[in-house]
Amino acid sequence: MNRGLAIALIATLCSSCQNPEKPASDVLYEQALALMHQNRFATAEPLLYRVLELAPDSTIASIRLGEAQMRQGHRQNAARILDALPAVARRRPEARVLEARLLAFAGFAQEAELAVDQILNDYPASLEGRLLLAELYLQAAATMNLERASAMCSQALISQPEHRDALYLLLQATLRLGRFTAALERSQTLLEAYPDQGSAHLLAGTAALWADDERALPWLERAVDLSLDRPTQRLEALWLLKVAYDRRNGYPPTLAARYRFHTYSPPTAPTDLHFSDIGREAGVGKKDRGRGNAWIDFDLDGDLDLFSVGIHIEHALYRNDGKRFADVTQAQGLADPRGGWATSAADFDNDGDDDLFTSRDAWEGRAPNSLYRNDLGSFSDIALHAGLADSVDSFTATWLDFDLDGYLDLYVANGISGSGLGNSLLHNQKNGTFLDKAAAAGVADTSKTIGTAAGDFDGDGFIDLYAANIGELNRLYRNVGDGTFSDVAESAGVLFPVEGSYVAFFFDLDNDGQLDLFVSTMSAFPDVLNSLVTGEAIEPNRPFLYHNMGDGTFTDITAPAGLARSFGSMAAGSGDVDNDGFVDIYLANGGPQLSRLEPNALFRNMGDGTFRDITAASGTGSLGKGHGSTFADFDRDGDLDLYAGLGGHYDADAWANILYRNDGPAHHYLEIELEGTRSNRNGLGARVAAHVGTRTIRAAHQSGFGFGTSNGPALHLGLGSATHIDSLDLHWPSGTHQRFFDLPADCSIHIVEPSTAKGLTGTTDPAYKISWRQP
Amino acid sequence: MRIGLLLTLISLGCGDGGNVSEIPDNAQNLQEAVRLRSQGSIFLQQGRPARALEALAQAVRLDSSASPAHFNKGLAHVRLQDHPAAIASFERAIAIEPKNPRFLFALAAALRSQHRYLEAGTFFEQAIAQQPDHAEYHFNLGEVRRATSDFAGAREAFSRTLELAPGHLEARYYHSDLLARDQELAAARLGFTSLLEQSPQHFQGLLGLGSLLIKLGEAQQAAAILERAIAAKPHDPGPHYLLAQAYEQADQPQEAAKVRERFQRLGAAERHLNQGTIYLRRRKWAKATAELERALQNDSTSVTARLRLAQVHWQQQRPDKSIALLEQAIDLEPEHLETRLALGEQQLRTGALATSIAHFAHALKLAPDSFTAAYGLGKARWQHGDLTGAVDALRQSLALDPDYRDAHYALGLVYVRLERFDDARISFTHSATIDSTHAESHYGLALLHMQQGQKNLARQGLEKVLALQPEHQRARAKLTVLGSQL
Repeated sequence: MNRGLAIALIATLCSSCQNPEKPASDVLYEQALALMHQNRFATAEPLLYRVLELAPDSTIASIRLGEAQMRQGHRQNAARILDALPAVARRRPEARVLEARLLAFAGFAQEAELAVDQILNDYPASLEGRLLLAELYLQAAATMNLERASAMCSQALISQPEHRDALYLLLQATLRLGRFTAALERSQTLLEAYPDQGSAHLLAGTAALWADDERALPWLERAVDLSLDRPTQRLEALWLLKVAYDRRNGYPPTLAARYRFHTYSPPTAPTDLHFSDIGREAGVGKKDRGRGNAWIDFDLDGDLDLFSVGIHIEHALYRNDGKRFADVTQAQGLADPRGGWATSAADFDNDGDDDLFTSRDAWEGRAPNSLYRNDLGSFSDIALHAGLADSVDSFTATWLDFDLDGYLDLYVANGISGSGLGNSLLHNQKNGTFLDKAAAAGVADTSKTIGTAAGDFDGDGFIDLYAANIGELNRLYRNVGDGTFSDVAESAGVLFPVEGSYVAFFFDLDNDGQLDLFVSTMSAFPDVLNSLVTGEAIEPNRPFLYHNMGDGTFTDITAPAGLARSFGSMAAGSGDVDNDGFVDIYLANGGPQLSRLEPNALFRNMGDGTFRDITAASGTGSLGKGHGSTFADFDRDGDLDLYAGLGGHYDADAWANILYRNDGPAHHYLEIELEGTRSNRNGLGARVAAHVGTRTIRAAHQSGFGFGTSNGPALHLGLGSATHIDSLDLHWPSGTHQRFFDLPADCSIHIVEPSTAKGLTGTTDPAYKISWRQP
Repeated sequence: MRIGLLLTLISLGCGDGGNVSEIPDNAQNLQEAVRLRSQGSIFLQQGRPARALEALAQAVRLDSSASPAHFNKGLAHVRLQDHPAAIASFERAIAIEPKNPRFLFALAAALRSQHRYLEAGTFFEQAIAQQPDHAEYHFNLGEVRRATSDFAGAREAFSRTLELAPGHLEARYYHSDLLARDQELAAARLGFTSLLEQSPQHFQGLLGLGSLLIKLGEAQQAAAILERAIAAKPHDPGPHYLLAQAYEQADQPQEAAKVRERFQRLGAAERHLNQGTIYLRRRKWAKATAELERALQNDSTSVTARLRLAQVHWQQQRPDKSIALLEQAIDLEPEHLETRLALGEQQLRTGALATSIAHFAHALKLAPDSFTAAYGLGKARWQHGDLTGAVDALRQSLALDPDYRDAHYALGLVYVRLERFDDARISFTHSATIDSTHAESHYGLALLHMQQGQKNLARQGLEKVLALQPEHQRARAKLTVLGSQL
C-alpha cells in the first residue's frame, strides 16, 4: 500500500468522525421504506418488525408497519396497530393518511376523501396525502375524478419528479382518460425511471396495448421477465401479451415458450353455430360504456326494435327497418343524457305498447330512476308522477305481477353503493303510479343487492323473487300469495355465492317444468386467469347453477354441468341459440381495470345436464367488458341473435356494442307472442310446454333478468328437428289454461288470453285469438 | 482506539506491502467453496434448507463453476417454497451441465409448480432424452401435457410410464381417464379395473370407473363402485351425484332421491365450510360461526367444520367450547392428525397436561415426522414434570427441524432443571446463534455463567440482554447484584 492510499484512508476515517454511524434501526427503517416505495410490502414487513425490536418507541415504524399490513389486505391488523398508537402519534400526517386509507378500504371512499382533504389542509406538503387522494379519484366509485387524480399526481411530481407512485398513478389516470398518446409518453418516463420494475412494464404495456402501439410487445415481454417472482403479475402480463399477439394473428412460431399463455381447453362440443358481428353495419354499434338493453316493438309494426343504455351517455333507441336500424332516440323522446345502468321493457299500464324502465346510478351513488311511458311510439319519463323519482342507487330490476291483479309490478335492487337502502317492491296502482311495498312484503333487503330475478320456482302460481347480494348471502323470496314473501334461500340451498354474486336468472335447463336458477359471479382477475390455465374454479368464486328438485330445494350442479370455472361475469343471459330445445347461457365478462380484457363466453346446453364452451367456435368471445346481453330474433329468420352491451367504467374503456347475427343451423322453432287480458298484457309469468313427439319443450315468460334486461318480447322455443307441435299447453298467470293442437313450426303465433272463461280451451274455442306470422 | 487505527494505517502506508494480504487467493476460494458445498449438502439432508441456502449461496459466490452447488441451492430454494429462485439456480446448473437429467428434471418441476407448463414440458422432454427409461420423467411429462390439453401427447407419456412402471397408480388413472375421454370405453374400463385391483380404495379411480359404467349403461355395477367411493370419502359430494344418476338409470327413483338429497346436503356443507373458513381468516367471528354451524347442520359428521369452529371459539377465548368440539371430532375420526394436534395444544394451554401429552403422543404415532407433535409433546412433558421425557421429545423435534429457535431454548431450560449445565449451554448457544436478538437465550447463557462463577462473562451477557430488551427486569436485577459483587 502506498502513502497516497494511506492518506486517503485517513481522510475517510476523519470524515467518518463527523458522521457517526447511523443506528441499525434507522438503516433498517430506510431499507424498509425503500421496499415499500417499490410496493414490496411483504418484504418490508420483517424489517419493520426488526426496527421495532431495536427501537420499540418508534411510532413512525409502527405506522409504516400498519401501512404494510394495510397494503397486503390485513385491514384488521392495520387498524389494531393504529389503535395502539399514542394520541400524539395518531395526529401525525402519516398516521392520518393510514386512517384515511383504512376508511377507503372499508368502502367509505367519500369519507376517506374528506379525511384526506383535511390532512392536506393541515399539511399541504403531505405527498402521501396527495397520492392517496389521487388513488381515491382513480377509483371506479362515487369519488371518481380522473382529471383531479391527474392534477394531484402532477403536483406531487413537481417536488419529486421520479416518485414511483406518482408516476404510476399519473399514467393510470391518463390511460383511463383515454389520452393514449400522452399515456405512451408517460409510460416511457416511468420505464426510464424504473427500468427493472415488472409492474411498471405491465402498466406501460397495457397503455401501449390500448394505444395499439407496437411497443406493447417488448414492454409486456419485459414485464413477464421481470415478474418471475410474482406469479400473478406474470400471468397478467402473459395474458395481455396473448391479446397483443392475437391482434396480430397469433403467436409467431419463433416466440419462446415462456411468453406464451397456455389455456386449458375444456371439453367442447361440435357445433355449426356461428355468429357474425353486424353491429356497425346494422347501425346499432353504439360506442359507449354500454350497460343494459331491451328488445321492444315500440312502434307496433311487428318487428323488434332495440333500446340501449350506457352510463352518463345518451340512450339509444333503434328502430328496426329490416336490414338496418335507424337511430330514432331524439325523435321518440328518449335522448336522456343521464344514461342508465339496467333497462327492461314491459307494458306496465296495459295499454298495448311496451314501456321502459331504466335504473341509475348503481356503484356511483344515488340518482332518480326513469320510467319512460310509451304513448304511440313516443316516450316520456313519468318517474316523478309514478312515484319512482327518489334518488336511489339502483342496479337491476325485474318485472312481475306478484299479486296477480293483472298489472305488472317492479322489484328494484338498491343499495349497491353502500347506501344501506333497501330494495323496492313497486306495486302498480293501476293508475300510472307505484307504491313501494317492499317492507310490508318482507323483501326490502338492505344488503348490497345487485342481481334480481323473478320466477315461480315452486309452481304454485305465484311469482317468487331472487336477490343476489354482494358480500352477503343471497335471498330466495317465496311468494306466500297474500302479498308477502318469505326468505327460503337457506332451506332451498341457494344462498351462494357470497363473495362475488352478480346477476341471476331463472330458466328451465332440462325441460322438466321446474325453474332452475343461475347466479353469476364476479371473480378477481387473477382467479380468472388461473382458471383459464387450470380449467378449474378458484373456490368459492365461481358461478352457481342450481337445479330445481321440485320439492322446494335446489341442487348445486355447477361442477357436473361443466360450469365450475372462475369468470368475471358482470352480466349473463339465456336463450336457445341453436334451437335444439335446450336453453343456452351467455356470460358477459370483464372488470373495471383496463388490463382486464376477458372474453365473453357462450355455453351450449347439451341437454344432459351439462354445458360446453362453444365460444371460440361460435365467434362470440368479445373482450369488451360485457354487460347486458339479450337474445331476440331481430331479423325474423327463426334463430335467436344476441346483442351484447359492451364498455367499461372509464372514459377510455368504450367499446362498440355488438349485434351478433346468428348464422346458425336450420333447426325448427316456434315464437309465441302473448296478449294477456285478465293477466298482465305482456303475459309475464306465463308458462308454455310444447309437446313434440316424446319431448316436451318448456319456457317461462320473464322480463328484467340477468343484467335487468329484456330479451325479445315473444317466447322463443327451439324445436330441434320437429316440424310441427303435437300440442301446446299455455298457463296464464290468471290461472287460465289453454291447449292447442297441431301447430306448425317455423312461425310466430299471437295468442290472446280468453277474457271470460277459465280452464282448458282448445283451438276451436272462439273466445281466444290466434294468428300466424310466417317469417 | 481511533488513534491506534490511524497509526496502523499510516504504518501500512509507509510499508512495502510485505505483510500477507487478507484477500484469499483462488485456491483458497475453491477449497472453501468445496467445504461450503459439503456443508450445504449436509444441511439439506438434515432438513435445514435455510442454513443450506446460506452455505450454498456463499459457495457459488466463491466458485460459480460448480454445477452441483447451483443444483443444491435450487433444491434449498424449492424447500423454502421460493420457486422463482429455484428456477434461476437450476438454470445456472444446466448452463454448466446441459445434459444432466436430474438438473433438467428439477428445472422442469420448478417451472411446472409456477404453472409454466409449456416450458416445463420442454425440459421434461430433454430429461427424457438423457434418461429415456426413467418412469417419473415420462409421468411428469404426461401431467404437463394433460394440463396443456395435449391429450394425445399425455396419453403417450402415461403409456410409456406404464411400460416402465406397470404399478404406477397415478399414471394408470390418468391413462384410463384419457381413454375414456377418447371414447375408448372398453380399454378405459380395463385400465380402471386394473388400477382398482392394485389399489381398491383409489378414489379417483372409483369415480372414473363408476362414471364409465353409467355411460355403458351398467347401472348396478356403477352403483356398487360408487358406494365404495363414498365409503372411501364419505364427505365428498362428487360420488353421490354420480350414484344418484346410476340409481336413476337402474330405475330406482327412491334410492336416487335419497342419494341426491345427501349430495345436496354435502354440497351445501362444503360451501358453508369454505365460506366459514374465509370469514375465519378475516377474523369475522360471528359470520364464521354462523357459516360453520350451517356446515355442521348439513353434514353433522364433518370433522373439518368442527375443527374450524373450534378455532373460532379458541380465538374468542372460549376454550371449553373449543375443546368440546375437538373432542367430538376425535370421536368421529380418532386418527385425524390436525385435530389431535389442536387438542394437544389447547389442553396444554388450559393446563390439562396429562391429556395434552396423550394427544401429542398419539399424533406422533400417526405422524412420526410431525415437528408440531414432537415439540408439543416436549413442552407438555416439561410442564408436567417429566423432564427426561421432555428432553427426548424436544430432541426428536430438533431432529426434524434443527433450526427451530424455541425448541433449542426450551431444551436448554429443561437441561437447566436437570442440572445438565453443559448441555444447557449448548442449547442456549444454538438458540442464540439462530436468533442473535433473542434476549432470553442470552439471559440463559448469562445465568449459566453466573452459576459457574464466570462473573465477567455473566455481566457481558446481561448487558447484551439489556441492550436487546432494556425493560428486562430480571436481567437488570441480576446485573445489580453482580455489580455489587465485582
